[in-house]
Amino acid sequence: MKALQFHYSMRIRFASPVREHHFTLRCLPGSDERQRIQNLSYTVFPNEFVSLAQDSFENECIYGYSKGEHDRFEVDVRGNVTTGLSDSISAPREERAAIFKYQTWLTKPGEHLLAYRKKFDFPAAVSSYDKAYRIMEQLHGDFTYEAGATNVLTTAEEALALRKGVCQDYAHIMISLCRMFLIPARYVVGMLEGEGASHAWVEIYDSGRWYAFDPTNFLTVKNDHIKISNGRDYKDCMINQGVFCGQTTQTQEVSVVVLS
Amino acid sequence: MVNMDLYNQTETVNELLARYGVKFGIYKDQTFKEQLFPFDTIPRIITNQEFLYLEKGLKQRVLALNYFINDIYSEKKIVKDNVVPEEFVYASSGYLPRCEGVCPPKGIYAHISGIDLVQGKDGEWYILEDNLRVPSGASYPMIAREFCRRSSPKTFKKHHIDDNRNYADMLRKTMDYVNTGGHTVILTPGRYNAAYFEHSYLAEKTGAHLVTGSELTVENDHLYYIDYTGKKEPVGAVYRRISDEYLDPMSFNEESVIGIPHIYDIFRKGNVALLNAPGNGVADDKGIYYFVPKMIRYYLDEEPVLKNAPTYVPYYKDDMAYVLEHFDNLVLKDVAEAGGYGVVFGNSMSKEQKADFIQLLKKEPRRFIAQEVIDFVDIDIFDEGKVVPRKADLRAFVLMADEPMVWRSGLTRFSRNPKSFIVNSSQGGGFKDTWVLSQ
Amino acid sequence: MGIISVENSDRLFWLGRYSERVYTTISLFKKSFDAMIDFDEHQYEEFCRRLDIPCIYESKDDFIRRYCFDGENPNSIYANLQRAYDNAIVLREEIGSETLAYIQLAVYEMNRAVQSEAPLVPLQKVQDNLVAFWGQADDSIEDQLVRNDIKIGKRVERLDLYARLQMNETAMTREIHRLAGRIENTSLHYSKTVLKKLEEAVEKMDYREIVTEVEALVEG
Repeated sequence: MKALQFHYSMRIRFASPVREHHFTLRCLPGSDERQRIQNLSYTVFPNEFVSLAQDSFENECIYGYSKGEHDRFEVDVRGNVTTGLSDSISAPREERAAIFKYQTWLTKPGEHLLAYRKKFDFPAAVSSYDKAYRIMEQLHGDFTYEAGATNVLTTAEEALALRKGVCQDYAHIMISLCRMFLIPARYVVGMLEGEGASHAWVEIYDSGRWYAFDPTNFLTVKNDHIKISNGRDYKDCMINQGVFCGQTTQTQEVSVVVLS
Repeated sequence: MVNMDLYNQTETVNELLARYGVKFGIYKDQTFKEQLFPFDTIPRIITNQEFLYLEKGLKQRVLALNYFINDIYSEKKIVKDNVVPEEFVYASSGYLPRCEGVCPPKGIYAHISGIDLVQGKDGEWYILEDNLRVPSGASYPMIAREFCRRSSPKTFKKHHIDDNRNYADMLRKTMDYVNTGGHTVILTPGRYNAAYFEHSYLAEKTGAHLVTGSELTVENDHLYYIDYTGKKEPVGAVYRRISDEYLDPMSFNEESVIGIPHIYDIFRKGNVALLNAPGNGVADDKGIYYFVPKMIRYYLDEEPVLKNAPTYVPYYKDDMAYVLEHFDNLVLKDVAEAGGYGVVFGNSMSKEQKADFIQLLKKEPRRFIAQEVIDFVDIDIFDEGKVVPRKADLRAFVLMADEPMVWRSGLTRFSRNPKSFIVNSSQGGGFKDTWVLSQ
Repeated sequence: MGIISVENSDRLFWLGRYSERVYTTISLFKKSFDAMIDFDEHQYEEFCRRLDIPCIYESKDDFIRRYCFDGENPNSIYANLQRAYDNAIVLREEIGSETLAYIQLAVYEMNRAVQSEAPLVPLQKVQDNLVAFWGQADDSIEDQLVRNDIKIGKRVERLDLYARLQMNETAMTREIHRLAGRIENTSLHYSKTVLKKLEEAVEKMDYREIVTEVEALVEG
């Protein structure tokens, strides 16, 4: 167990004003068996219309609409978290996890992933957990962390061909491989102790429980990770999703501070 | 001939259809064109007794389909009990993960269903296809009836034909039943949609407002229609005639400019009814079709009244063997395609085409279904002054309010080409009225 | 009923304007056509001058073809009828199928006129259908706002055309009264200041000023 406090902040500047701005924010961590959230607070600007909602993957969302012109968009979330309450999360109904066995366009294998899969030769008795661990281990050795080599829409297949990328790419490749072995695997967005940006990792399903793996750092998740959301891939977990009117360019700054 | 008087009015009726702009749109060479939908005055006639049988089967089918969709997006019992294999659900293009855990108002997913049937030469009716997403076509026989009665009153005096112009009332009842409080609107992608006539005509006849996405807005968990004064009028039911993927850029296709951002979030909260409910395409997938009789047994504990066309699913080994053996007698359908596309007849392929197809079939067995070619009853049409037999199907409309209602009429479409089995209006052809006799 | 969106309010107004524009320009065209048969081959130059539209036509035949029937020419009668249709087709549930049918019929007659050696006869039918359209609109549209939006469109267009054609004071005064008496009972966003200026311009019989103000009257 570990007591952490966090501050997530996002600052967007629009070069020229935008209007009719609809947004959905997946930036509110929720309590589960592994983590307990307390003193959660958030602010959004502009905030003409702001509501809370839950999406189909049970992620908490802030959604809203700003009709008038604005040239900045700001979100701040703060709270205290106790992590490491459990090593996994229960998922009693296997049929609900089944959806995470199916590839999405971001995880769909091509020739590189299909070839890479051949590196793994699992005897029948190996558990999903152990297979996932092996996949993480192999991937960690073959893949190099390098910012800027990929972007948010790079697929697992493309990233694997490059053999380099960021946490999102590690997660997508690992998910794709797990799914090829029929292991339900989901994408997780969250925060890591320290200062930086948001982080992404993987949860896999084994015998009624979800276990979290961080392939970027080659470890199983214990006390240092705060989970925000999960989904089939990056697109289901986008922290900031928006549509607006206006021809403009934008700059975005994200800062995550997690202290114990 | 009995209805000579009506046949003689063919031109008059078609002129009236033109007068009222009864058209459908098509894109040819990337430009939009409006076409008249040719009307044939020889009706399809269904006796009262026969219709009661159809009605029973259709109600049963639509009830089971609604149970199925509800189950898929919640408990998934049917998957758990292995009646429908999981991959047929999750890999279907109609299954939308975003709809997981949503319960639409009154639990209805398919409010307006268009079920396509054909009658075999043996007299048996077969279900060809369930259309649950945004089925169109009811407006055509509805308005054609109006003009047939105007042009040939004595035909309608003589025969006892159920009035079909009550469709608007049935639709209104269906929309009102799920309305969560507020106005009822019909949401159209705009006038360059193939079925725009129908959207505007149904709006007029039901008294609903015809709107495009830009006229609606979501604010504070509710949907509003904005009046010219800027006043916000709450909307409680949206009969949307735009497909799932374009309905809400925040939940589905983010490129959509004709949708309403966040409408799906408030639907999820139960603050507006969407007819039909998004995600219901999981039940009208061509791959799922095979399982509908099983669903009827599973959810209703009843034997299906209406038969499917004999269908084989190459996903199952036995079926694959049958398909390969009887390839030339079967029609093969790509489950991802709609509107008469992706349909090929085994006997129409060349040797190479056949070899390629079988290779693809073995590689992606779940992608295809195969069906026996039903020798269906031809229906008479008037073609250049002569009565000739042509292939025709029947789209029956089932509306779901507190209980399923079957419209005592339907859209009968025929193919003008004597060799063609495909009667879809986007591939040419015309339509007929469907008479259900009241005695 | 009773709620109209800004989009539909605008479409109703323009449906009124274009239907009036087609009607009146056909009337003018008929006179011009008659004169050009055997009397004055260049009458069309005068026609363009009066309507204040660019005279881009090379001959009487060119004028008849392009001014009347060329959908590509934005000033043509054909293009204006097409615009009336484009607005009407999206207003079925506001104006009703019966009313809409007359615009549809006018379009069919116009297409017949395009093919005809003697276009004045089918053009007469276009006009007949427009008159029937106004009559049907007046008779069957229950919502007063909807009715008035179309009518004000028609009045605005007529005032504009009359000013361009420099009609006499009696006609101008009649039209401004019809307009001013009704515009308040519409869903249109209009400027009271401009209306006042317009009334003054009619009093002074300043045609240029009338054209300017009438275009500024309704926003959007």
